[in-house]
Amino acid sequence: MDWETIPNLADVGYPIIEAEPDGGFVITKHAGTGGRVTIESVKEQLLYEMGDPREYITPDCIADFTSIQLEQVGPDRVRFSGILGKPATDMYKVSISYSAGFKAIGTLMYSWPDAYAKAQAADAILRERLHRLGLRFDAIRTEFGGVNACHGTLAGEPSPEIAEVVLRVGVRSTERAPVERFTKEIAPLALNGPPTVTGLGSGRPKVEEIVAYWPALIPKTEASPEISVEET
Amino acid sequence: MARVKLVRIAHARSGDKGDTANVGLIALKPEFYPLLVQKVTADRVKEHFAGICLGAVQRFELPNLGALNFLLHESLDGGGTLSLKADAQGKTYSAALLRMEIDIPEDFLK
Repeated sequence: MDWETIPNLADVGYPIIEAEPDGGFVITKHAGTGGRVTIESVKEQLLYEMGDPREYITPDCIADFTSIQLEQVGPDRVRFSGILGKPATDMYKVSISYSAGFKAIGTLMYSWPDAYAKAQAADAILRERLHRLGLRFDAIRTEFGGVNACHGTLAGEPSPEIAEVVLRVGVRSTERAPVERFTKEIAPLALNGPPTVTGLGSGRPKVEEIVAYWPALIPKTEASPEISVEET
Repeated sequence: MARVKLVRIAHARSGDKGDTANVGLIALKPEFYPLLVQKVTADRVKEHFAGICLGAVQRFELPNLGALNFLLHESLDGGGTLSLKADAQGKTYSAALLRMEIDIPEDFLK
């Protein structure tokens, strides 16, 4: 909120915690740095990536975020108090990475007039080509930047006079070959598709290997920390 | 009754946990919080995010912060590096929720 009134975003520092023995603390920032520490900005940060607020699992404890009391105690100073919690769980979080196939994302930009209609027509042509080539994907997704990429149908219909629209098509497959083939179908759209199109400057889309993330839990009894210091 | 967008009475922040997006909705004034609790139900949010949220919506209340936290399951095309979405982390879903319109008493904003 009020993003345009936040001062000096070119000089934002890291937040500072002044911790107290009772578990309370003040969050603040260095004088002369940009940004803003208010109850509003702190609340937004507290809610970020939150699950069940009564069971916020951290390495040290399970915190109950519904017990937090906030107070603005000075300019850019917010005090936290009253925080309750429970002992840590008997599990460790394990972040596992695994190979999960391939993806590629192609983009093209269409200008006025009829920017959105042109981008939609280009998407239909592309899908027809992919279909005729017999390529199979686990997922294919089209978004129109400037129209619906962020908020889908909630954004409503764009103005017929919209200045430009970015066609963004992504594919995903466990096999590399169909994804590779897809990347060769974007450039021809600029030559053999709807006009007033640009955005091919950096060439064919890159095929990316997907390294996916699997968060898991293991009992703490399964891991025994060991430290060794060796001199070389 | 007057119909207003949530952006008039709340601010929000969103992020991701795998294929689940979370949206925190925070009342701009303490007196707006009961309205959020009453009007912005999990069902209403599920309906609002039709076509985006393919799974269930869970709601949690944080009266101490004047805030609600929503979990939108199956909303990020697999999430993380698997996702083909431009907004694979649901960073803009906060603003998407603020588009929701609710009915409030006429004189509430005066």
